[in-house]
Amino acid sequence: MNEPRLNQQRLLFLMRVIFFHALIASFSMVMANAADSRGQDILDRKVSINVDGAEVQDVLKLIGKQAKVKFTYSPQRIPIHDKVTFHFTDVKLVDALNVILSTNIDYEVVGKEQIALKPFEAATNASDGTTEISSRTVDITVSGKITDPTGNALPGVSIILAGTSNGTSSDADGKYTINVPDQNSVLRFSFIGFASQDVTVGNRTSIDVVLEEDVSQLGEVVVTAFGIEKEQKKLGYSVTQVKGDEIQTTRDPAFMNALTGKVAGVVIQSPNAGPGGSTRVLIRGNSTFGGSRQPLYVIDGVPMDNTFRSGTGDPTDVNGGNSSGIQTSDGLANLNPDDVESITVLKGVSAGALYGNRAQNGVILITTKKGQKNQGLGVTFNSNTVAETLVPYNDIQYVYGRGEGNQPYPSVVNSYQSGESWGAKFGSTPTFIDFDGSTRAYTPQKMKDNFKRFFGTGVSTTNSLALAGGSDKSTYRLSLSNAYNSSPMPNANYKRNNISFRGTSDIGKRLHADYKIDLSRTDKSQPLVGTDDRGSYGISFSRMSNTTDIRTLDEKDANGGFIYQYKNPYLSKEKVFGKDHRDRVISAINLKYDIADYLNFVVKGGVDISNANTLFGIHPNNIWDQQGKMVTNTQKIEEDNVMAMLNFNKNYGDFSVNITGGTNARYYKFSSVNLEGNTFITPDLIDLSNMKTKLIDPPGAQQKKVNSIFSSAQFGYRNYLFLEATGRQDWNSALAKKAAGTSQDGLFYPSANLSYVFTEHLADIMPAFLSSGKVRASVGKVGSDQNPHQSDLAFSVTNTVNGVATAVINNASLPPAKLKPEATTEVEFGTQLGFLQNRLNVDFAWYNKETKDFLLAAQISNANGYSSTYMNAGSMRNRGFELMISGTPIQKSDFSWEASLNMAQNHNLVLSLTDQLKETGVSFGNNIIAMAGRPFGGIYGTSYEKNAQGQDVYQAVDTNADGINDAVVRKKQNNNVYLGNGNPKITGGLTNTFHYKRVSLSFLIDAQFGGSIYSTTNKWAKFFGLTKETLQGRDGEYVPTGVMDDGSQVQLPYSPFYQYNGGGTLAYTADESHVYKNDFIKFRQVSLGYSLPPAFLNKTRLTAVTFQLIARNLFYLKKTAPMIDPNSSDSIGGGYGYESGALPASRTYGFNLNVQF
Amino acid sequence: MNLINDIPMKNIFRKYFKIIILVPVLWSCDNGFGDFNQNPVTVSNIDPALLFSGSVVNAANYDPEQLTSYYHGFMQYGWSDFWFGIAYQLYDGTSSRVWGRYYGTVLKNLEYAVSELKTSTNATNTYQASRVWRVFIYQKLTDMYGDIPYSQAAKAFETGVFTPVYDTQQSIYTDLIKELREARDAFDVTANGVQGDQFYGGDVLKWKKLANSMLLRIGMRLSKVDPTQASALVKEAIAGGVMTSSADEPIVIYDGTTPNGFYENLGDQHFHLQKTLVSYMINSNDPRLRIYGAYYKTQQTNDTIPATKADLLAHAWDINSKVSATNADSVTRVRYDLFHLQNLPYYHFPYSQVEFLLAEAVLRGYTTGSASDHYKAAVTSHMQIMSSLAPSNPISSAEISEYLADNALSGTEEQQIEQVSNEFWISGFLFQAEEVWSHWRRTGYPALTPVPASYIPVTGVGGSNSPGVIPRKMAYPQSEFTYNIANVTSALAAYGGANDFNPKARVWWDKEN
Repeated sequence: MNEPRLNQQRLLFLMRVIFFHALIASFSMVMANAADSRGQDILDRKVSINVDGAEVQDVLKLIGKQAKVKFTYSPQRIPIHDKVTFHFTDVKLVDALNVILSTNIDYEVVGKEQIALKPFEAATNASDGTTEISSRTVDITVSGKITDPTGNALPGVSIILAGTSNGTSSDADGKYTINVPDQNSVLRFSFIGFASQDVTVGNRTSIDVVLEEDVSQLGEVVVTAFGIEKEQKKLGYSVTQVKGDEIQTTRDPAFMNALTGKVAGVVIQSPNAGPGGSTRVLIRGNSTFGGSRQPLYVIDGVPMDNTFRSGTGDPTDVNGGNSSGIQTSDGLANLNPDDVESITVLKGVSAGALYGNRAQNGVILITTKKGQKNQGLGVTFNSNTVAETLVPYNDIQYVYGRGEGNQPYPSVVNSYQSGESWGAKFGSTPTFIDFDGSTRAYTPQKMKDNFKRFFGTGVSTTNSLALAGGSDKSTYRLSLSNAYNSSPMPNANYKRNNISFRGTSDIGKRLHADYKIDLSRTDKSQPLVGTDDRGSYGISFSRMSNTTDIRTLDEKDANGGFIYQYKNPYLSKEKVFGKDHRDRVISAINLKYDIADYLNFVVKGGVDISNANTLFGIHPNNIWDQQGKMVTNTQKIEEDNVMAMLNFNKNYGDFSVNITGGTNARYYKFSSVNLEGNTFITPDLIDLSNMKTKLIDPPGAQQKKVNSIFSSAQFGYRNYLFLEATGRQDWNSALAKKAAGTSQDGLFYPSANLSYVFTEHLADIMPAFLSSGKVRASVGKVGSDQNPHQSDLAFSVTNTVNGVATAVINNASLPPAKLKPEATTEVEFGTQLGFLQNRLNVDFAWYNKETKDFLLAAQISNANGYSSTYMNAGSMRNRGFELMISGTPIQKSDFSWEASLNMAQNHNLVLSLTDQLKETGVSFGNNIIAMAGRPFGGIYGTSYEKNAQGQDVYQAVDTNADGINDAVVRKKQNNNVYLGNGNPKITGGLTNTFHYKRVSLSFLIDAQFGGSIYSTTNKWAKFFGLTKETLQGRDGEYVPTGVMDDGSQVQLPYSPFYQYNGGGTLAYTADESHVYKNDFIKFRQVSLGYSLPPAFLNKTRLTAVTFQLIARNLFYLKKTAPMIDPNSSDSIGGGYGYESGALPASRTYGFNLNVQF
Repeated sequence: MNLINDIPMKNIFRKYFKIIILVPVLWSCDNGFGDFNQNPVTVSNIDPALLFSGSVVNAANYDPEQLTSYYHGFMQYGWSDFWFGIAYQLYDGTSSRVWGRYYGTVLKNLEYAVSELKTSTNATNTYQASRVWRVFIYQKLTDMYGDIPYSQAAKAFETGVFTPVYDTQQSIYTDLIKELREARDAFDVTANGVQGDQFYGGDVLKWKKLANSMLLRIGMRLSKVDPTQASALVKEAIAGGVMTSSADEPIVIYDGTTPNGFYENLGDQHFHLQKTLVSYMINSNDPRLRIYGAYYKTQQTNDTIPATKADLLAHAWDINSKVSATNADSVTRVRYDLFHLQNLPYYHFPYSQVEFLLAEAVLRGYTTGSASDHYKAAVTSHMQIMSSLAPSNPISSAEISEYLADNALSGTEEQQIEQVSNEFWISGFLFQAEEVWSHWRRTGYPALTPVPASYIPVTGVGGSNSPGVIPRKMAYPQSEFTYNIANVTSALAAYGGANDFNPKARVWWDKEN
């Protein structure tokens, strides 16, 4: 076991390199700058003069002595005998000289301790031959204090003499002093987050300035890559920031759901998978075929692991053995939403280019809260309670009941057919014989009633307490949070406890430390989802007749066995258990050392470790896994990052320069052990020792190292033109091969972006309604983060049999001869405009993103020995636009209305595939296939025949086995054609917020258009005659207009039973009929809040109390797919767009209370 | 101020970028990446003999899938509601699994081992043994599917060819014969024994016998399509020396930690005995019947009832009288106490089979000798093996003698061939149904009455894909039509152009008379 030791050595090596790097870099920069400012240094020396009518030459001697300089001049040319009177105390030498010397005398610093005086040379004007004597102007010294609107001093404000490069900045007390040449001089005060102000000096020498906060989008300070804060106006790419309170109000356990409909171009889809399920976050479309499609999450500058492990196509699946029925959470579910200060979405490639091989799917930066300096203990308590109910499947028919052939079954039927609703018309017969032999009333049992009978009302309560404060040197924030969610689904719940601490300290004047730790523990019990036959709630309701009172399915025989054995949800409710326990530590430390006011050095270290234990099993029963089974899985995931970087920020007159350079080392390790036991000895004791047979699966493991260096340089000109270039070089172990000289593990990712704030530049000619405006352009390249251990053959020693050892090749995928990483390049153009004093803001972006050489574990004929191989298989394009319009239509003193609309369109196209894959495409399971010339995530399958005239073609069928065709159905073709795109083309959201005095009302509507879904829930519901779609032709009198396959007109009636059921064979059902347009407009959430008035609070110890009523997922304004929730999907990966057992959508309503004291 | 002309700034960048250049040099000095990219729970180097050994065990683990799902049904040994062979249904699950397991596991490892062993020093016998075993696997596959990927199969790692062509069965057989001969002749008793040997503890001579026995089997397989070559191969095999006792049998002895494939397979299946088998054994007064089956009260595997032969027959599965079926219909089932054991050995190629083949070869005039002696040796050996599996109630030698006396070879040569074949059928129970199916395709024996077209299977949706006709070739897996469509489609041309049980779906050596 040398491995840990090796790692330690590598870490030490790494640290050495970082410090070596940093030291040299910082030293060289300090020295370089010192050299640059030496001349200025002499002139800044302080002198004091107190003379009355002294000669200039004496005064020069006096101040020369004080400032340790020697003046050289020619006495003939300098009026050294003029008499002067001065009273200065502690003024700069330069200021003194300006006053002492007449305006036609110039001075120049020569060497280290000399100042040469001479008259200005006469310059001959080349054009007209006249001679001009230049003169040095006499400066006016202006000083003052800069504050924000509330009177707080603003340190670090930039003060520049307009039209020159001369400038200074305010000190810690907000005070400044600057020399200006004359009364016409204009001073430009600018500060990040505040609107710039121009002030003409006039006859004042003291000018106090109040800077207003910049309400334009361009002034907004956002967090960019590596946590660097910048104003929007400097960014040549699209960045959207969401404030933490937007996710804290609605408090979904999967908190990324709260961003749904809020950020243009970010598609959030969350198939209901029980409490604490995973969220699909797709930024600017699918960018990759293989690997993760999820964005990179970075918390406080440290990347976190968000590995999602589901039952669908994940090689490290942790679910119950051969079950696909349980879904586990993604990593984000461990965070406490109350700790989040803001979320920044870096959508484009250029924005995330500094993250190199992980930025392909976009980057989401999460900044957590910290305490404020110089504030006493502040306590915030937040309590949130919502009730959750499940939305019954809609579009169910209650016209015909249980049975077949338009009549109830004449005798007991207890098989899949018990679920059929192809029976008699309600009202035509009083009773029917049920599966258990009982005679029951032949009346509809409504879906909503069965939902009420089976599902309860879940309650989610989240309580958070945060203590925060700070001295002048340090801050602290401690937060505790407890969330409990009792799902409406039986046997499902979710618990989360978080303790987090964040502190900052200034150690001396230059060293700033920021450290945090977040401990979380989550426990979940999960329902079965998908097509799991052990009673998945997702498939029971679509396969149950509309006369069935669901409670009857719980009936038992004398031995305690279920009488009803076909997909009985009570089996899952009573016999199946699925638990997920996860402990997680996320810790980070951030040290910043200010080498100079323009130069700092930052070291960051982050550790993210999670341990997960899952338990799945089924007690002995009479339906599935009859003797019972249990599977436990233990997983450990660790991701460590160490980063060092040097930041240089300095203004040179009209120019600003920001340079960052650094290095990052990442280490990732995953391990997993699976234990399985079969056949319970004692039926109820869940313990491996209680299992008759036990199996240990070979352990799973992955490890990866990525070393990187990165650098960015931004140059700004006059606050309106900004150009940035970045570069990152990654060395990725996952691309390394063993044989010498075969590795291609080094990758370079460059980017550049340009921002032009034309309203600043061309302020004079801008129309009045345009308050701010910027255009931007960027281009960049990033890569993908591929799975390790694909490059070389590896072997596993297997069991010794007959005393002889055995072994197998461990690779399921054929090691590629050459592995080239994916490259995604993107060009983006955009603009940000503010109108009418920024009451109306528009942000528009257009992008064209192409992924080349995508890496794919492409399926190959297993006659090759391997069923897949990694190959660079083709290219794909995402092209689209994003538009955000926000504004304040009404702003009165006690009433305001804010509205924000966003929409995005993304066109995805698979541009090319390798010759081998052109024919077959790349399958993502079920009916989702990627084909060249079609969008990624296309739905393919069989279709119904149409003739050349576009008419539906029908075929005759014999429905009563008498040898005579007596009905028609649409003719199915045995083909495989494109039936739709699983991903939406257009997405958007509209938020409206109203404030009236202390009441606020906000609601969000979101929408998705242009996608489709393959719904097997509908397929089977139609098979069982359950949905309204199956009604047409039930009476046997509907003769469709169309043609028979022999070309004749249709004469016979249409048989929906044969069409959808085919006498139990599904023989006439084409996939086409299960692919639905999946558009929706959803009334996503509403909140009504009230804050207690200060007058009331003043009598208490409370500082703020806000109470909100909230509701989520209320209703659809439009929904095209019957029965199911439009977000339903088996997979949140590449297979999105196919659902086989969608759990019903949930609806929540409740309240949120926030108290601060 | 002009940045470009600002000398100090230029110096900063010059110095800074020097450092930026320096760090990559340090990072890229990291030569450990290749090793680091090795999965920590695997090993990077392995003795290829272990892969060879693994491929032998895996083949034994995988065989029960196709045996139970299809051949026990085809050959009317048993019935289960899980089996697609009962009503001659196409089922891609089995076809794909068998294909995937043999190519994707057995041959993947075996081909790699063969290629490594070829160049390794001191492992010539292991190399030859692994070649022999490769012939064994490919014969199994081609006998099931007919034309299959062979020359380009499981070699993608070496060749980079992802769509292997389908070779004709005839050309495959030609190469199998060549491989067997080469390997057999290259075995070297003076060199190191066979490493990773599951069968013979490294004994080179026994491997040689196995190679010759396989040559005998291949020869007999050609009796219908090419009797001349068949005769020559049989003579060559006998001259080279075939198995002479059950001590020469290739058996995988399971020790319980890795269970025999039947353990999993029978665990969730109700293996009822078919009346065809039970009545034949009762008629011939076969003592093996008490080992093969028992009368079960319930579906519990230990719930047996003492039963007479008549009871066994009465409760055996009668496929002709049951046009629809449920599980509870019958209670004569395979003996779970004997065959559902973790340590049940797996018989890849029983010695008795060699003797049956020799008996038939004599009867066909391919070789000389006493067909009766070979027949007796075959039955005796098989009864002894079965007896060894049932230590509590073994078959005595008196019983064997009595059985042989009652069922002596007689009649015309063709009648004797049928008699030999029927005994071969009885001896193929559980372990050799696949070989019996091949024998039946070649000889027409045992003469079975196919399951009637009216029979309605329990499993799956839909009826028979070959009503009233026992299939003669397995369908290719659907995955080939996705990933290797050109080659598989062209292969299908020889089989009626359809991937099903059509009348033209017969392998090369099973030519229509």
